[in-house]
Amino acid sequence: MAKFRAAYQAEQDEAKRNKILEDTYPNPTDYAPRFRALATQFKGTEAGAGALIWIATSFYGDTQEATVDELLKDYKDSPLLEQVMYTLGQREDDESRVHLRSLLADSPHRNVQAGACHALALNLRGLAANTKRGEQKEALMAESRALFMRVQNDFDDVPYRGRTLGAVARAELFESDRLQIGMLAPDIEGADLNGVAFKLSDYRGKVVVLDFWGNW
Amino acid sequence: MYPHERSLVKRLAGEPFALIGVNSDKDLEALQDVLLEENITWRSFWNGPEGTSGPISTRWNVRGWPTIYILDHEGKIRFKGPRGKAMDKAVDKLLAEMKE
Repeated sequence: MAKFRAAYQAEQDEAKRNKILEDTYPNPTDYAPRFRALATQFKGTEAGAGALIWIATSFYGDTQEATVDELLKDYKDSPLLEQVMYTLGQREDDESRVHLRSLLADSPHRNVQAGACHALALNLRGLAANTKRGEQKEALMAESRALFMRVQNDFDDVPYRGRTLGAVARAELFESDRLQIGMLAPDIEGADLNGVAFKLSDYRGKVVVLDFWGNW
Repeated sequence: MYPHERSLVKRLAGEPFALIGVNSDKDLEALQDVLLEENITWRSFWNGPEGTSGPISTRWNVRGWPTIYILDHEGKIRFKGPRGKAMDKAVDKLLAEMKE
């Protein structure tokens, strides 16, 4: 990995960079059998859970899904489950929501409860977005909202991707309350790339595509 | 993505339509060359020197780039996320609504 990083950063040309990426970036597929062997050898211990977590967080798709299922079956009381809560929350089946609810209620670890609470809130909001207007949609949004509130009240200080879960939940609540389809867009006041001040609402009366972009 | 946006802006010139960016590059000066090279004529807010951690994208809870919102002429959020042909279709639908 260190070798890859040094070579990649030294090269500016994109085509050459891609070649370096292909040749020297560590491929998780090469390491998976070893982690699988560790998971078998140390089944039932934190080391066994850790090996499965490595697989679950290094792959996408079927491998990830099967490994998360294995973790939920064999290691439901492990604190390491925190690392797969987001992935679990991305799933759309009812069973995943059942898992999240039971981890929130029954995990002996606060960090797992916190991750499950946040992931379930995101999941229910996604479900609401795919539900036609009506009572059911409203109920899903209300439950999602209550769970984001619970994250703030009960798990505010839990670290999450370089921030705290409380801060992330506050941002998500803003999205739930102000950034849903059908809502009046919050105004933006700022300066353009020449330093000239303007507002999003200056464009009222026009159809606006608002594009968060960057040149990278 | 620039070619699609350029063609959208060109096609809808004269229509009640605007493409507004929120740019999250940290280096505003380096960006000026890109604007010229890529013929980026549409207006963008600058998200500030913190780049993707800047105030506008943080408030709008943007976690991936690009992120697209489409607003109707009343300023209501009508679509989230459409790119390419789906973006064209969404914009055309909202422009048609205005003429009803």
